Amino acid sequence: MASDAQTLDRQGPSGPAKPAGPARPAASAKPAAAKPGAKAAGGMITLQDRYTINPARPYPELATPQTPAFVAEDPMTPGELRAALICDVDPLPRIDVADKLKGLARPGLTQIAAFGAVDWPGADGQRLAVVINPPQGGRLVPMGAVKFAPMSPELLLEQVVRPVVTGLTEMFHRNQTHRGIRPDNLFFSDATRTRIVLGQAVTAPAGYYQPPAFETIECSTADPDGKGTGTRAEDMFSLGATLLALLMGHVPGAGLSDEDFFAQRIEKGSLDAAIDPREIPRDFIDGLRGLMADDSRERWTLEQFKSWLEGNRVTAPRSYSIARSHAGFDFNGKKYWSAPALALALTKKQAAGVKAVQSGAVLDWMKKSLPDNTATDALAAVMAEYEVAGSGASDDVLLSKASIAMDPAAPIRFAGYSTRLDGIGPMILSGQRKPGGVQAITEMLKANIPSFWLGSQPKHVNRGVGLNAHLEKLGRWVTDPSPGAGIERCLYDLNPNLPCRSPIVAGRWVSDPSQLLPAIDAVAAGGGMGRQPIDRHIAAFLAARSHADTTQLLGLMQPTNVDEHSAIGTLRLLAELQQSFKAKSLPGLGNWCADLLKPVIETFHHRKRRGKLLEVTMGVARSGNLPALLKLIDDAEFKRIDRRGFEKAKEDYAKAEADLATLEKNNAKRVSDAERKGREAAAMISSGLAVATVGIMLLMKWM
Amino acid sequence: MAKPKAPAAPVPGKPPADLAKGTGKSIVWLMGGLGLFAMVAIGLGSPTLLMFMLIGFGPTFAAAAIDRDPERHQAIAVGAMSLGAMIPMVLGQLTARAGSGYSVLTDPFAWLVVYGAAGIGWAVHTSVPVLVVMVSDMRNDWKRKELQKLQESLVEEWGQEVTNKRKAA
Repeated sequence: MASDAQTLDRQGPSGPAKPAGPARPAASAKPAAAKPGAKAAGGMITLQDRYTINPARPYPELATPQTPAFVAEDPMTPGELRAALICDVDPLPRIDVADKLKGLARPGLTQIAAFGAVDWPGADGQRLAVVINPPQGGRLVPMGAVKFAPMSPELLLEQVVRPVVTGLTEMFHRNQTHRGIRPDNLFFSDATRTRIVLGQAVTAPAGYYQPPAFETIECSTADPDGKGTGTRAEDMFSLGATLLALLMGHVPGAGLSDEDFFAQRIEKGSLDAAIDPREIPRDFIDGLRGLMADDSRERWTLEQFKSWLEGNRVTAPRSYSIARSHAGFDFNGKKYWSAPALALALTKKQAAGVKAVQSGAVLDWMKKSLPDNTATDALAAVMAEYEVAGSGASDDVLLSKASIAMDPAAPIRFAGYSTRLDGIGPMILSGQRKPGGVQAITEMLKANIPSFWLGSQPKHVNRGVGLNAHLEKLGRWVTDPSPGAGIERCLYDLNPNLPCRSPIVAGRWVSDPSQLLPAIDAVAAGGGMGRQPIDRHIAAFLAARSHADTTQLLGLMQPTNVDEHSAIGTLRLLAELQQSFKAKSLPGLGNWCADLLKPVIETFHHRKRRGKLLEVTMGVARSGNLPALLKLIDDAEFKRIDRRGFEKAKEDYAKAEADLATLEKNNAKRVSDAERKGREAAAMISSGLAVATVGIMLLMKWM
Repeated sequence: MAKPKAPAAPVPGKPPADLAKGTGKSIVWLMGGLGLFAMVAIGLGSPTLLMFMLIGFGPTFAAAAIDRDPERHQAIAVGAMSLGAMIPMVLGQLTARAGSGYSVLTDPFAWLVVYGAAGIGWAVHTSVPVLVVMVSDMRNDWKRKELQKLQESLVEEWGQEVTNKRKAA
């Protein structure tokens, strides 16, 4: 394939064994994840108090382009080597699958011993370490090899088919898909290179490393992040394509561009587009036709394939192909003979694609040249909708809907992105690091393209209960600016294992709400918390992973002006989380909350009570008991008493002020009144004295 | 339409009109009493007593002349004291034996008593209002201090925010 390294390993699987296992520490063997500022390279990393990972000893044989591997040891099994695969958030590891397979030691599968977050030297945050029991014999085919020595049918059956079928049986039994079956992900489990195991496929999204040739037609044109979890049927196709490649000695479609091989697969069917009848033993043809059937309804299940392996007669499906038009469509200097191939080409060259669709040339060609009217009618409906919407409608939306109408089975293609429905989550994640990625995905969700895609599927496609409602919910969230919504909500809703991406958690691997508080507590204790208490990521993370009410958190999105309501809202949320997840004492977070609550305490008016409240608050904060802190601060009765007292005090003060003013104002009148009363009193006193004097004198005279 | 008459502005030093109207009766009543007494005395045919009373009420007439108080409290104070002093003297003149030759007009003690009483009345009128104003000032000061103390205690207890006063109803 054009994008693959054109590696030619002439020795191939049947050649001499390549030296497998970890590289020895040497001047050139630097830890893959090491960055400037990393701690001493000799420092060992411990996982779950058991496994020790040596960042100084890379394990290149097990590494993938996005996931470096290092030597690890398990003290419980001294002498046995382990390997640790160090995963970043993007691409997102399949933690749920790893969890289901952890500890499972079965033939045909690489055993996952443990996984968990580790502080990786030089990294700007924690990483997920997946410890595996490494296969001892190296890869069957070098990583990324396109050509290799073919295997004989007998050897293939013995060394590859049986162990892989066993491994897949185990996975399917646990309702898990592998989504990484390809020649360079098969390993010899033993140093003598006699037994094959499936390599792990949990360190990246499903199908992330799968070349298009090993994917179904529907998945082959999806972006690596957007292939989706898929079903067992995708694994069965990958198994067929892998067997075909090993028999032929090269990747199917080698030498052709992705687009050309896709066009051939559309027109001839995947098997017939890849197969060279001279290279494949006749006995294998039925098996491969069963596994590589392009119609998933006809593709063999694992049970059918096992039955066929046992020699039973299993009906192989007919060759599947889409009718070739009797006249080609010229686009971008090439001629296209089918609607799916043209749809892919139109979305690859977007500007020209939009022009071709808008001009009506594509619709005209489909009307004239395609025997099936279904896609033609669908495109006509899209065009009509576009004309009604007028020039304001987005070209990206038009092209995306036209592409879906022309090839409903294909992934959703929008503004250069291509994703299956169940791959939208990882696609949003990877879109965050691409320029304009978030904007494009936001527009896609806003335009409800996923719902349109689902509605365009044939009736036999399982739509799932409530799936359409969920997709429409994504469209609503993405336009909702409130906390717990937005593109962040879609991100966490569609990626159930995604750790919280908030800068507040400082790169800690927080994939569960119960881990959020201890992580924030650790950051707060280290003084790393800013003034902004909760950001959009934390709100969306909590909304998606817990049933926390995040609608009250809008005020907290603003770095400044954290008012009383917002501060108590934060504390209430954190207290509820501490209570519901039974988190241990959180003194760092408590102290940070106390700092946040100081303005709230300042709103209490009574000085003595306020001082006492602050003192008690600091004490409770140090204990890290957030519910107790909330109870203390959010005491309605206490607030009511304080408020009433303050209002009464204000009234008393105002009344005293008014009385003082009245005293001052009436001073002259008061003096005047006093003088008048004094004069009246003087007159009365004089009169009294006179009467008394007369009375006394008369008495003296006549007695 | 004719504009309603604006109430007359209060004149400094004068009580309001309604107040003056109510208290003017006592003056009329007092003056009337004095006049009646003089008429009785004249009717008894004693020009001596009439002269005694006219001269004895001299301070009263002077006080009435200079008093700007509509109720003439100064005249009342001086007049009442003068009257109180004159009554025993008049009675002494009336009850004196015919041959004694006593005339109140020539009795220095009588004049001393009458004018002394008028002086006392004058002194009472001067000092009592001062005392009343002093008492009023003291009460006013106590009340102001009490209110200021209340305000200080409110600020101390509730903070400066409590001074964001609303208008008392």
